Formats: sequence, C-alpha cells, structure tokens
Amino acid sequence: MKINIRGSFAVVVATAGLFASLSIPAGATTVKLDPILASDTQLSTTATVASAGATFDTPFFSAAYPIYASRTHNATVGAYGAGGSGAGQTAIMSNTADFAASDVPLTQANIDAATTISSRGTLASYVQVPVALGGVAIAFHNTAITTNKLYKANGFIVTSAILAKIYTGAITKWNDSAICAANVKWRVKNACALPNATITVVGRSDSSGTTYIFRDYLHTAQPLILTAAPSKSTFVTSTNGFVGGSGNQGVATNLENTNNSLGYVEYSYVLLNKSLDAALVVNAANKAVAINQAGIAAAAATKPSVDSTNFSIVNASGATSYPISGYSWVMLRKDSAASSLAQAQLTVKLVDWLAHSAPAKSGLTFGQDVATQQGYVALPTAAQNVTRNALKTITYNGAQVLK
Amino acid sequence: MTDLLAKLPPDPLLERRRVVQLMSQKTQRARSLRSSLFLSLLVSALMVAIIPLFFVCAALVQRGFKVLSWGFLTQVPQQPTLMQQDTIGGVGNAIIGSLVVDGVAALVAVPLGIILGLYLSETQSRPATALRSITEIMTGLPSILLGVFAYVYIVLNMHAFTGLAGAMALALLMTPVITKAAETALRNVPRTLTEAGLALGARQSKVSLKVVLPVAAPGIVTGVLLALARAIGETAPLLLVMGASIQYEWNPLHPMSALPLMTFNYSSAAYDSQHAAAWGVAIVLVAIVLILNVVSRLVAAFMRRERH
Amino acid sequence: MISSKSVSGLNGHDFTRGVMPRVKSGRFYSYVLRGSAVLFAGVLVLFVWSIIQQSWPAWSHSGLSIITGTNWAPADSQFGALPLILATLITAGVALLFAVPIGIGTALTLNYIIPPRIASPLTVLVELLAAVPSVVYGLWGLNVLVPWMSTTIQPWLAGLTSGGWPFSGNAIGLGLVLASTVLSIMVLPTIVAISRDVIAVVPRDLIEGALSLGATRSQVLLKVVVPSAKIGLLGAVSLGAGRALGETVAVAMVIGSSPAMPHSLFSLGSTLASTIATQFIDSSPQQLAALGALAMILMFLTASVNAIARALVQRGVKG
Repeated sequence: MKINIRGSFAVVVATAGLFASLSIPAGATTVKLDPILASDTQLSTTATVASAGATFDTPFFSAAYPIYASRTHNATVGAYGAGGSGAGQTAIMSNTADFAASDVPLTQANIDAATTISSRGTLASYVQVPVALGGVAIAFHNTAITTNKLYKANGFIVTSAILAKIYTGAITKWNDSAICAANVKWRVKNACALPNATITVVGRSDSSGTTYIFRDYLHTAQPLILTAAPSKSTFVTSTNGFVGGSGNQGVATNLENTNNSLGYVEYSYVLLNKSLDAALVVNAANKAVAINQAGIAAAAATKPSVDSTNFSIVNASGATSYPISGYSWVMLRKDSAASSLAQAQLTVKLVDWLAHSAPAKSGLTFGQDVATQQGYVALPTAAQNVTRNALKTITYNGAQVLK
Repeated sequence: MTDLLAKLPPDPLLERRRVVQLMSQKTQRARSLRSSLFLSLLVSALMVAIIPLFFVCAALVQRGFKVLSWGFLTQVPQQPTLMQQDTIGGVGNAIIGSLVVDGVAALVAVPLGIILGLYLSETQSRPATALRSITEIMTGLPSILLGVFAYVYIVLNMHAFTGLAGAMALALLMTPVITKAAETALRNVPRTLTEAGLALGARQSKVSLKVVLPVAAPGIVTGVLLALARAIGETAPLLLVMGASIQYEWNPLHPMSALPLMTFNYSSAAYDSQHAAAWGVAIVLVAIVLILNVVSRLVAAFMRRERH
Repeated sequence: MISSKSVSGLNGHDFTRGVMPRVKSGRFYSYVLRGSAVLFAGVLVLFVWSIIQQSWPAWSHSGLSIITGTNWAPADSQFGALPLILATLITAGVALLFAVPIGIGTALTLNYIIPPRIASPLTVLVELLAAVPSVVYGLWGLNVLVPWMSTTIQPWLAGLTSGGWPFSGNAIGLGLVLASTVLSIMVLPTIVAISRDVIAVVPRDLIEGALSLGATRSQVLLKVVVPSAKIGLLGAVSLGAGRALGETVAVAMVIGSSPAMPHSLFSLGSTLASTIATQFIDSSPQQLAALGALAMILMFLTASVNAIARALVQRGVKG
C-alpha cells in the first residue's frame, strides 16, 4: 500500500495530469512523442507517484508535472505536497513520498536526529540529485522607494552586511546610514532620499531550505555578524521579531500585504507577484547585481561539479554572479520502497525527466526547459550527466530501474 | 388676604420642604440624565457588537461574488503559472470533500449523540452526571486538539492522510453538541407522555423511541443542524490530518480537500488570483453555514409554535 | 409545563430512575445506551491519552524547560514555549478586556432595555456572529483589518502613549493587537448568550423592589442585576476566556507567526494553538512531540478554565 503525500499548506499544487492541458506554457511547442521516448515513458501497469518537499521548487514542479503526465501512459503524478524542505526530508525518511525535494541535501546528522522514524536507514540508503538551480531574491515591498524616480535608474542596493544586520536587528530603518552608504545615488539635495520608515522583516516560520541557502550566504559573507552555522531554522531578530510565513508563498503573501517589508523568497515568487520588487545585491566582486538567470548561471559556473556534500554556490566569485544562488535537490531511496516495478519506474523516470533538458533541436520539452520558463536556470550539462548516472544506481528488488 | 399671608413669618417646615423639593428635583434630573447616559452606553454596546457582522458580510459580498461562477463551483483547482496567472480553476473538489468528510462525521455523530442524549436524560447515576459534565467541557475545547487525537490514532496507524481522520475529528466535535441538544430536548418532553406510555404497559425503550423521541425530534434536529454548521466551518483539525488533493475524491480513505482548508491555503498562496479565489471559497462556506443556521432556527420556531 | 425533575406518583414509584420496577426496560435498549456511554467515555480517555502520548518524548527530553524556555527554534531542537504561552495569555486577556463590557452591556440591553419584539432579531444577529467560521474571520482580518490597523488604528493608539508601552514598536497591522481584536469579536456571542441566560434568572422582585425605592434604571442594572448575577457573569467571562485561549485559525492568520518574545501589543507573536496549526505538517518527529506538549498545555489550560466556568454558570443560573 503506497502512502500518500502530505503538505496541506501548499495550494500551489500540480493539477492531475489528466485534467490540465492548459498549463503548457506558451512558447513551448506541442509535445511530440519521440519514438525512443515513447517507449521510455510507457509503463506496464498503472502507477502513482507521490512527492513532497521544498516550496523552492513548487512553481517548477507544478508547471512540469502536467506536461510529463500528459505524455505518459498509465501514470498519475500526484499533487506535489509542498511543505518545506524539512517536511520533504521527513517524508522521504518515513517513506510517505516516492521522492522528496529539499534545498539542502540530507545529512547523516539529519538522519540521526530523526530518532522516531524507524525506516530512516543511513545516508547511504539515499540517492540525492540536483533538480533545480535557482536564486533567492531579496524581495521588498516599499511603495515610497519603487515610485521614486531614482528607483528606475538605480534600483535598491543591499550588501551582505546590511542583510545580516537587518536580520539580527541591528538595522531597523530603510534610511539607516549603512543602507544610504550602499545607495550613493539615492540623494536629493545632498541628503539621503531613502524613506525614514521601519523595516518590517519577513522570514520563514517553517523548516526551510531557502532559509538554509540565505543563512549560508550570510554566514559565508559575514561570518562575524552571523556566527552560527547555517541551518533550516528561522532567524529571530532582537526587537520586533519578524513576520513568519509558511513556505515561500507565505512569505510572498506577507510581503505583498505589508508595506515597508523585506524578505527572502525564491526568484519565481517575485516574478509572479506584481507588488514585489527584488533588490540588487552586492556580490563578492563588489558589483551590485540584479537577480536574473544570467547571474545565477554565472554563480553556478564557478563550481561546475557539485554533489550532495559539496553544493554551496553562495557568494560566488565573478563580476556577474548573483551571490544568493543555490541548487535544489531530490532525494530518493537507493533501494526503492515502491509497491510495484511500474511505480519505481515512474518515480525514477520522472526525476530523470525533471533534471534534464531536451536534446537540442528535438522540439521536445523536458523538465529543465519548463524550469527556465519559470525563472530557474537549467542545470549545467555536467550536473545532468552526473544525475543520470546516480539515478541508474537505484534498484527495485535488486534489479536496476533505469536502464 | 395675600398681604396678610405675606406678613406671616415664614414657616420653617414649609421652607424646608420647598428646599428639599427643589433639591430633589435637581438630583432627580441629574440622576435620570445619568441613567439615560448609561442606558445609551449599553445600547451602543449592542451596536458595537453587531457592526462586525455587517462588515464581514460586506467584505464577503464585495470580494467573493466576483469570483463565483458555475465553473468555479464545479471545476477542480488548477495551478497558475507565470504565463497564465489567472487560471485557478475551481473549488469543486473542496465542495465534494466537505460533503464527504462532514457526511461521514454526521453518520457517526448523529446516532451516537442521540443515544447519549437518551442515556443522559434517563439515567440519574453518578457516572451519567460525570459524563454530562465532561461532555459539556468538551464543547469548549479547542478543535485543534481533536486534530492531534485524529493524527495520533488514525493517521499514524494507517500511515496515510485520509478524509476519514478528518471525519472522526469532526465527529468528536459534533457529538457533545448533539448530545446536549438531544438531552435538553428529551428532558423538555412532558413527563406525562412518558408516564402514560409506561402506564399502558410499554417498555421504557418503546416509550422512549416511539413517544418521547418523536416529540423531541425538532429540538434534536435543531441541535444536529447547528453541530453540522459548526463542523463544516472547522479548519484546525482538518489542517493536521487531511493531506492535500486536487481531484474529485469520494473515497474517505484518500486525502481530500475541504472548503475551510482551501480558504486557508488560498489566503497565503503565491498568486493574486488565488488570493481572490479565497474570498470565493469563503462566501460559499459562509452561505452553507448561514443556510444551516437559518434552517435550524426555522425548525426551532416551528417547534415553539407547535407547543402553543 | 411539568418539570422533568418532578417525581410523579403512580403507585408511588419513582420515575426518575428511568427503569420502572416490574416493567421491562428492554435489555437490548439499555445495553445499547450504556454501551454507547462507555464507548464514548473510552474515546474521551483515548483523546486525553493521545495528547499525553504524543507529547511524552518532548517532556522527557526537555522537561519543564518547555514552559520556561524563551527560544522556540525547532530546527535547532530548541523548544522553549514561554513566548507562545505569553502570547496566548496576552491575546486572550486583551480580547476579554473589550469583549466583557461590550458583551455584558449587550446582554443587559437585549434583556432589559430593548422591547422583546426588536430584541429577537437583534439576538439572532449577535448569534450569527458565532456562526461565521473562524477561517473567514481570519481572511477578513488579514485582508480588510490589516491595512486599516496599520494606517489608522495603530498610529492612533501609539499617539495615546506617545509611542510608549504597550503601543510601542513597528505598526504593520499584523500582530497581537489585531489578533486580540478578532478574538474579542469571536468570543462576544458566547459571552452575550451566557450572560443573557444568567441575567434572566435575577428575581423580578429584586428589580421591582429597587425600582419602587426610586432607583433609576441604570442603578437597577448596575447595582442590583449585575451584582446579583455576578457569579454567573463570571462564568460567562470564563467561557469566553476558554474560547479565546483555544482559537486557532483566525489567530494564526493575523498574528504574524513570529516565535519571538512579545514586547508590546504591536509585537508579532504566535499562540499555542496557532503554532500547532502552522507547524504541525512540516515537522520532524521531534518537533511533533514538542507540539504535542503545547497541545497538552493548551488542553490543561482550556479544560480547567471551562470546568471553572461551568461550575460558575450553574451556580449563577440556579440563582
């Protein structure tokens, strides 16, 4: 009996593949069934796959699942249960999901801490592959800034020091001297033109891999201010605390509803919300970069080979790198716990499809092509190859699943 | 004559009386002014109490109506994407989900509540009194605790998030309410009916079921409708145990959605179209709850008219 | 109407016991009744036990530091729930501060000031306040009250104390003050309903006696009715408190979900119930146990308040 997915905080769910043909993004050609692919994606019997985890990937998975399911015979891709990276790790350890997504890979420490999950196994029981490459935007909602003439020309710039101090409560105002110093062009009559309002800090109230990437960045760039090693848990600022949101979408909603607020969300959430803008972040090469796919790709290029123990690409070198970039990972059981071969096949093939780009000029749509339309960056080719090799190690009843 | 009277020395008693009268008139006026002020303060308390209801209804109508459509009520939810931010589909699956979950809950709670009501109205023993007190305390307990209970005993044992777990939590919520209403309704049946039945030689069970229960029925129905209205609007226990689903789901052994769950999730969702849809779901939910309340009041009024 | 408590005498038999001597009560019937009662009692025991069982690992691991600790950071295995307990008590307390005078005032108005023909529909309106689901109140608070709070009410409040306590801090709409406001609207119908029942049994001769002595109507209400009903009114307030302590979803949507220690009424916070609701799903098993501990604290708090309330109301209604 397969266990079904959890995650009732996410409405950002995938439509059952059989219903939605509307979600195929404009710009993609109608999916053709390549003869090789056709055999690749047909299953022998009906199977359902359940997935859960990071909200970092929700826009990607929700758009991708219906496309995959529409081409696949006998497959039902269950709604993605986006409960956060922590929930994803719990789900894969307790086998309530066939695969789970997390912005920070599972570690032996995570497994050791889960004392009440009897099926947790060891780190070697899992296969972890990168499935998405995206950026964490510093989103803010401040109408005084965005309607100002100076914004169009200069944007709003923050540095790692400023962010660290905002999140530890040392900086509380938009026109703090440090922020004014970083935004030299924001001057009217020789005085800082930034508004004299208090910053409302928004953060995650749940266990979040996005928080991990953000904290990793601040700890790497400002180890003296943010001394604690990164983890998925929230910050607590000293004075007013912060507004907690559940999932990336909760943070985005809080930002949208509160003027003079600032928070960190995955890039697509800024794209789809008209009231939010992203700040320019000063990278390791001392250049203020906007968050965009080129910047994220440049950051990823500084570490071409990533694996689940060496994956951090924050504060990357390079003039165009966006400093708060990161991978999102999918975790699967090496020895599949699926209830049938068809289910194991569906799981592995879906993850394989999600993690790859279509061959050039084939006219097909693979997962990474969908991802780039949602604001992510396609995984580097080297990473995609490593992924396929890793997925080939997955077995069901001793037999290799992906040939 | 009057000048004669005027020449008389002033009567101290009369004077006193006149002064006291004047003073008491003044204090009387002050007192009734104070009284009126206080009374108007009380009436304004009533006004303050009622105003929020109108504001909530106004917001519901203003924001919820424009989202409603036949498609909204019958389709399943769809995932908006960057390119198509307004395709949200509908809430049909939540309506079905609420129907199933609340239906199963009622299936359990109504018979159990009526039986417990019969038990409490007929038995005077100490265990019965204890059960009554505990049941009454339960009506005031936070519903989230019922969700924890359902999680521990149903979700963990079945290794799945199911509509059944939600239904059981709601049944535990509804039963004390129905029990209390049933007991009150049964106790209000005139004793003469029971005695007449017993005097004619019928067994207690026959008397209760064939004589007392039908007379108490309107009161019980009122209680059932009110319990149902409360259960339909409950979100907290469902949050913990129902999982997520976006298909039409009739099987309680699968995860399912429900109207209050969908309202809650849509309120903090990623897309503005989903935020707007939250109001559409809310107005459907409030409409159902209000209809149930109105119907229960009509039944209660019918019952009152029947007695007189 | 004959009270069901009267013992009528048909051959002097006591009809209050439910079983008439020399008449079969129907063995199946009484077994079903008693069996259901036992079953339900068993379910209640299981219910309490489930919460204890779920929370046991947390208690044995962290002990009383759950109640005294001030750092709630589950991903770092820190489970200090004092900020949560404080936020629960503060929001419930402030909610009652408004709901009690308005509620009792409304009850007095409906019973004594307004003629019955107008009072009936108005009573229905007050009771309909209770019918609105919690999630709808949360949605309304989030979308309608938040802007109003942050632009109008909170600055006005801050002006009252010139930015000092308890109205200090950043005014963003969300927070303890909005949660208290929504809570007070939600517990109002409970307080009104119970107060009305309690006030209705104040003996008429007390009121008429006071009136005949020349008391004004407000004096009668304030100095005769309320003191006479004060035990029952206290019970009504306690019932309202029980509801306010346990309200989950509406509070979760407007309180800001911040685990930090609340400093002022403008602070964001998280109550016991709202924390359980928002964090349960994506929790590690260790955190689930800690949330179970929160549930146990909440259960203890609300059960005792409700028990006291019931006792008070019963005393008050009996007169």
